[in-house]
Amino acid sequence: MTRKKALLDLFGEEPKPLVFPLVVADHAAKLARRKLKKVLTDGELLAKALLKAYKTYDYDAILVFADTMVEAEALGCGIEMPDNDNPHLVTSVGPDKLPALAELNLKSRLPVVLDATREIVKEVGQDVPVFTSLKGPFSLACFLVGTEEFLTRLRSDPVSCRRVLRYSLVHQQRYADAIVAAGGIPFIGEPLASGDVISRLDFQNFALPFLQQLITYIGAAARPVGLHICGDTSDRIVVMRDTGADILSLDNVELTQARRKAGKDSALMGNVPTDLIHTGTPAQVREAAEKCLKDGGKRLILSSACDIPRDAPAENVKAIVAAGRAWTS
Amino acid sequence: MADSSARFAAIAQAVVDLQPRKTAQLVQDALADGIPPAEILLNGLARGMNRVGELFAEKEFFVPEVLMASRTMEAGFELLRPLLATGDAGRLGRVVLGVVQGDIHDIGKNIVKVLLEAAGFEVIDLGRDVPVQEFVRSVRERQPQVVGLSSLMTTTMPLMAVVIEELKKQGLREKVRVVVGGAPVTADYARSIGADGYAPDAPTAVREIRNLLP
Repeated sequence: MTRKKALLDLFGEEPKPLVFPLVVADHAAKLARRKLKKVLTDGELLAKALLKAYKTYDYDAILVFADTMVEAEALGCGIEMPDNDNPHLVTSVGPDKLPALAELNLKSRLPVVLDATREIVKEVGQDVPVFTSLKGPFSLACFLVGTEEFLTRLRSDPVSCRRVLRYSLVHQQRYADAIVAAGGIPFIGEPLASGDVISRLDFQNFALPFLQQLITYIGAAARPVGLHICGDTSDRIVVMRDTGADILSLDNVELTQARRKAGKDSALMGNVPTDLIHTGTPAQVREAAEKCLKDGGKRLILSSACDIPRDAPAENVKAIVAAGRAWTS
Repeated sequence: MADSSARFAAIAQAVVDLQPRKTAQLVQDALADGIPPAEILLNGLARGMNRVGELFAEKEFFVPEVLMASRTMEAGFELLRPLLATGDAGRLGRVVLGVVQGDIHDIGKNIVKVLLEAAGFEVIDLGRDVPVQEFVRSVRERQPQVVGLSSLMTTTMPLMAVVIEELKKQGLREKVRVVVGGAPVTADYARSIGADGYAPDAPTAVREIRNLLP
């Protein structure tokens, strides 16, 4: 049975848990002994690094993810990219200076991600589902305006926030089209819509409507649609489900509770604690993975709570995969 | 004065209500009536900000509310700043704050800064992505009572231990209390790296720093 079929079965009558840890460019570059900066700027190297990680760990799906700044940078934000650390935002565009939305900016790193997607799909896409990460409209809007400024404006000038959110949505719909054309399934990361940052009410007012539109749009072209939100989202599991996402990827949330709130139809994804994967022993990681498998129900994608840290020992990632395989055998 | 206590309560409430213009107007009115600026700061603005901190800890307020509240407090504080005797803002002590190198998540640190200032500390804000040596230099040159280290990523957390080690090496560790915080940091971790204090959130950071001082 192919891994693509196994993913389909996850939403069928007799689901079996899958294993899909969030191995992204950072950890994969280290595994491939490449400078992160090189991997983040070259689609072929990004594809090679992610394929190397896939072959090393042998999990059930691949996530093509460079870093969180790809789209913001393409839209004019300034970033700093160290040799061996994730890039970060240096300058925002501001709410009133957003570039006109014409075609996707192909003189950016968007093609790096798209090329890597194409390459990986060509290599293993027959068998393995290939997801490609894109930012949710709320997080992209934060980067475009500057996170503090945007969050302050939620209180002082919500009209301007909605304008930027609509802009981000339209851009991400176009980017999603390009991802689907490259053979990837868009997978949304919305880190700033976390319960550690905004209230559930703000989530409903400013994140939910735009996520719903983006997910409906993507879902018409490719499924299942995944939604990852960092931090504690236990107060908004039901709202996350209401976005229409098929896969709810959870970070710091108790899975028994999440399952009770999400109902039995949603696939839950998560959530072996990232710091444990970073600093724990393989036995501890395996134990945490088994707890996820026990608590998450059958429609579970066993994963890391967030991105696998760069320096996480390979044995710890292997422990997650081993726990998943033992559970379903 | 019953009259001023009602005014202080109104100023505090305007901060909690996130109304910068109203806050500035109330501060202006209080000044015009001869209420001392230090009292307006302490009993009005700072009290409002303390309440904001509590609401944040209770998960009634989130980051947007705290940011808006600090902007609101600033609208009132702006009018007081030129009138306040120097030294008053640092009457409880001096704190160096920063987010360790490689980490650019500074919202939490900024909230701690606002709360510390409102509580009466002088804050030297090193910003985010701060190299180890800059913490050390700041401790040597500015002689704070407390240094607060923030890290929001598991990957940058170990740098807090490096800062403490470096302070030891340079003979500065005994001269300063170290408080650590940030989402991935735990009390156990803080203890394991030899920090004096740990705060899971901004209001606790202010309490912890107060408790560490003689």
